Amino acid sequence: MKAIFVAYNQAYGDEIVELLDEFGQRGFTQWQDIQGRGGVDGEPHYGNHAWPTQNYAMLAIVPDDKAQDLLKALREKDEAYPDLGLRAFSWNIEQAI
Amino acid sequence: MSIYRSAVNNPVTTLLIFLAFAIFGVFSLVNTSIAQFPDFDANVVMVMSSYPGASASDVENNLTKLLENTLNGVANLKNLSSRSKENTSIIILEFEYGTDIDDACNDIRDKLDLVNTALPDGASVPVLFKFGMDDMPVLILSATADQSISGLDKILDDKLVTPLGRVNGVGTISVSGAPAREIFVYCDPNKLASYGLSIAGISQIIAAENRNVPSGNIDIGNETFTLRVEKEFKDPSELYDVVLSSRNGQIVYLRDVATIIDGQEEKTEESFTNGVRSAMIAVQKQSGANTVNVIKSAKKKLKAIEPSLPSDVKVSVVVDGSENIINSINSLKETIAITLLVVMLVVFIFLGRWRATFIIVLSIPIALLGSLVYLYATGNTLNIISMSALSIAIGMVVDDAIVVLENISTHLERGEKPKEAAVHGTSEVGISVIASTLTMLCVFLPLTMVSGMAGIMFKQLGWIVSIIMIISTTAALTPVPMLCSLFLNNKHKTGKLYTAFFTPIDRALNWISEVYAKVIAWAVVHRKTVVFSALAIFVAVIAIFGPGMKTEYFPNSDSGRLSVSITLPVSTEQTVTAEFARNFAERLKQEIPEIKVLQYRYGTPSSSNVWGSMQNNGSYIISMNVNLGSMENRERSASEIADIIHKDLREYPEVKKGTVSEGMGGIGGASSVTLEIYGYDFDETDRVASAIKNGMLANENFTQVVLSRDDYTPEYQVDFDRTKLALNGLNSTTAAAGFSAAMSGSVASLYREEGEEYNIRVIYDKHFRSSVQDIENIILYTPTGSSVKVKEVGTVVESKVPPTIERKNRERYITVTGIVSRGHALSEAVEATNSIIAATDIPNNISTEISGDFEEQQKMFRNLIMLMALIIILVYMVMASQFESYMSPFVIMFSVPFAFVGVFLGLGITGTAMGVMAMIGIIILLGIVVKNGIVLIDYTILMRERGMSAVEASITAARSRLRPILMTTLTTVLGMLPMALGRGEGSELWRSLGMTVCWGLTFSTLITLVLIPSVYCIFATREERKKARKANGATVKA
Repeated sequence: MKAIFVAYNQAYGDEIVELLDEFGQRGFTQWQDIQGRGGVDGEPHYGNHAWPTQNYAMLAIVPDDKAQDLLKALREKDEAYPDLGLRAFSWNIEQAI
Repeated sequence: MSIYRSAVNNPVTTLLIFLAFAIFGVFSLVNTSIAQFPDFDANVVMVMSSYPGASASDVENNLTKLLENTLNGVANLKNLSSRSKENTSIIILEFEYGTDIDDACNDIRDKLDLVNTALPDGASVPVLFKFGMDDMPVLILSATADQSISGLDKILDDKLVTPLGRVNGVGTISVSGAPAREIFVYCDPNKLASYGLSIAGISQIIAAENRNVPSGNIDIGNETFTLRVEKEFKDPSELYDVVLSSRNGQIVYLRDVATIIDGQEEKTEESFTNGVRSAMIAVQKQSGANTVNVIKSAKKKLKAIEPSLPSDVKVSVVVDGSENIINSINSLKETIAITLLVVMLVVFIFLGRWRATFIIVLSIPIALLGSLVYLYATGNTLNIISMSALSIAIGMVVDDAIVVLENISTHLERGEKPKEAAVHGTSEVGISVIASTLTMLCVFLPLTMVSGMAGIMFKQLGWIVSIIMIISTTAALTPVPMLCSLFLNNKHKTGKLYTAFFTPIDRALNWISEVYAKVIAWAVVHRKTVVFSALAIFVAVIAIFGPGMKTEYFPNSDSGRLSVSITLPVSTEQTVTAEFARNFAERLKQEIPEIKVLQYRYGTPSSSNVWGSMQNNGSYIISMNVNLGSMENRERSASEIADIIHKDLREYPEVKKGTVSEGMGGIGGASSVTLEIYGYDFDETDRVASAIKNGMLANENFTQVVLSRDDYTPEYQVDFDRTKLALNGLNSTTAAAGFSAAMSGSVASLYREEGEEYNIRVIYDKHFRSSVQDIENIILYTPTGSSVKVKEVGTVVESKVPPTIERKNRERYITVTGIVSRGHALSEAVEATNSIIAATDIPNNISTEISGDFEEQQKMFRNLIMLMALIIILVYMVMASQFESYMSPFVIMFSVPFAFVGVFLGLGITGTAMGVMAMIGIIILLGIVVKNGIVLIDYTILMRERGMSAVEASITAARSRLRPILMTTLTTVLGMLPMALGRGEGSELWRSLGMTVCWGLTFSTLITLVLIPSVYCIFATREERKKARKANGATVKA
């Protein structure tokens, strides 16, 4: 099991949930209208006058066999429109109840 | 969920809501009537009271003063003037516009009740008349006839007036100039004397002979018959056989002493149309009825009536009050259509995409139709003001949609899905769109709160533009993102034609942006140079054009109608007047081929003619109506033609007073300067008034000058000697009755024919009442039956009746009214008048005051200037709260003075006078010019927030924001251009408005685009330095 955290431009909307559906991934947790900025470049997403866009974030705990494909799909999405901004991080899950 | 997302997610509902709006709008458009100006109530109430037998000064002292003192306390009274003439006192109460006239009338009645008991004996109870523009006839017809001329009045009464009167909205219809049939019994006084007969006696006999008497029933056998004596005359010739007396077995018939003429009333009003004797039919509308609708249905009725008239009776239209209105509204409709096309073109050229253009332009009809719902719901009309408002709004309506669509496009290009792009793109700019609409509302909503004439004129403008702004903002925030999400995507295909056409445009726009960025890069460094040269331009333009700025009230508009009033010397006999009128009309027809219909009338109308009796008339006064047709079909304007008539009139020494006025009164006529001269003494004020009149006549600013006070009217009075009367058993009343029967006749009885009644008038034959000797020889009969001549009991003396005493605000006054000549403005004429007054020797007890148009103009200007101040403060406040700063809006306000520079320059160069319409243009400008500043400064602040320095931010903002600024400015300026250049009927009225906005906005945009970034940098770098110093201080301390 792997945890995948995706922080992305709100403009992606439901697309990320739809992507999870494609992979048969049911469970996820999503936060809407949150702020953040990338570690390298790209616009900050603060939802204020200067930087009006905001982010969504998603945490999904995915079976190991799906994790790689999912990350690959996310990378493709990001590369299609690099201006929007989408980052994903994954780590191992030690225990679950 | 935000409103934008709901709109995007529910396209059907969104579309249908706005569609419903549009359908309501179309419904309102169909059902809204058209009119020239917004409706306003009458603001004048007349109080009339008669005091038989009192001279003008008696009336003034005993009646008028009393009434004036009482009525002076009525609320909202603006002016109280009065006219005291022989027998009659008229008080005219003028109220502030917008006063509820019914309340005022009640107030007046209450006050009058208080003094009714204190009125002098013999004075009648005062009666009230409301008087306003609604009382002007809206339709003047003329009926000409050949054979039917003798019965024309009855024909018209039966077949025309009665059916026309039934038309919805038609008020009083007055027929004048139609000769009324009358049967005359012309008596020879000498024969009367020899038979010992009197006019009164003959009248009684005729009345007694002309009777049908029902006399009960008779039963004969089984049947009942009614009994009647039927001795009414069946033909006027039967009158000859009336027996007057039998003397010594000799029968005296009426034919022995009189001739019977079946003719037409003597000395009545006569009217001619295009040189042919005619009847004038003046149609007034019911108060509050819509002119255009009333005329439309009246004309329809007229068509239906025409076949029923005798074939020789021709009815033609002399004045049609709706023609000018319909033409003006049509030319405004054209203007609106052109504006729509121009705006569409500008949007298309800038965006280069049909779909985007369609989405933006769609908000125009939605907003315009939505505002029509307001007109319909409040019972207002489509008029010059409301239509101008629509035209003004078109260019501004698209601004919000442009801003939203542009931001959505940016989001799309970044790769967002259309739906998300639409929502996020809209929500980012939503607040600033609402803020810029708020600044516009700050300008237009205060317009709805103005009082007085300005309030009546501009309330609708304020409401309509405000409503349009609100609808267009709502449209920009809901259907526009919805449509964007449906129709726009980030990969729009481009064809070859597109590339060929738009690549150069795009390149040119980019080049302009780059050049502008360079200019700004230079300007923000050379701030002082920029600020001082802007200041220099400001001072120079104001100094050059400011002092010479002409002002006016409303521009003179060509309605294709002239009314001419010619006053000959008071005692002119009617046939002389007729001769003069015929010749003059002939001359005008020759000199002015443009004349379509020329109708004139003279003489005193019968008392049954309501419209006629309210006007100035007499045997020596000629009134003309000239119809010139639409200005679009003429080379010369109505005022040029009016000038020709003026010049002609001056050539006739017998013309005492000649006035030519354009239109039918109200706004749009030639401007005039009315000088009021207050003073008690007639001679003194007369002297001053005529001195000033001569001065004004000699001045080129005036084409005609008239005095309000008439001359002394000559008259003959019969001064009976009471002692001599008493010796003959007469008194003043019986003597006067005999005298008046001889001169004006006595109506003995009525002759009936085919259900109509005609007067039978017994009167001295014409030969026996044409000189003073004839008056002296009139025979009066004493109670004993003996006869006595007038000269034996009295003397005929010539005397003069003093003119009407006019007072205003309880002081005697006389007015000198000068019509401002073509090409000269009201302000020049006022200046000239002031210098003439200064040059005239005026005694201390006489004061002068300029009123009329000038007074109204000054009042309106004061109102509007106060409004401007209020608007400037409000706009600043809205901007300050939007930016949450005092500095940024202050910088943006620098664009306001340069709007004035543009306006002064524009008016100065084109030689246009500053009138009320131009003032409204300036007020509108206050809202528009700051918009560019907002866009620029908003973006500059954004860039600074993103970490740029003030200078860098200004240059970036300049490069990036020039396109939207140019686009919104061009849509507004080019949208106003059709108004500014309008040549259609009525366009004089709104031309100055369009021009003001075009010049002001263009100039202000050009200057502020450079000035504002520079001024902003001055303040911003100071701020930055202060911050840096503080930061330094903090580090030093640490």
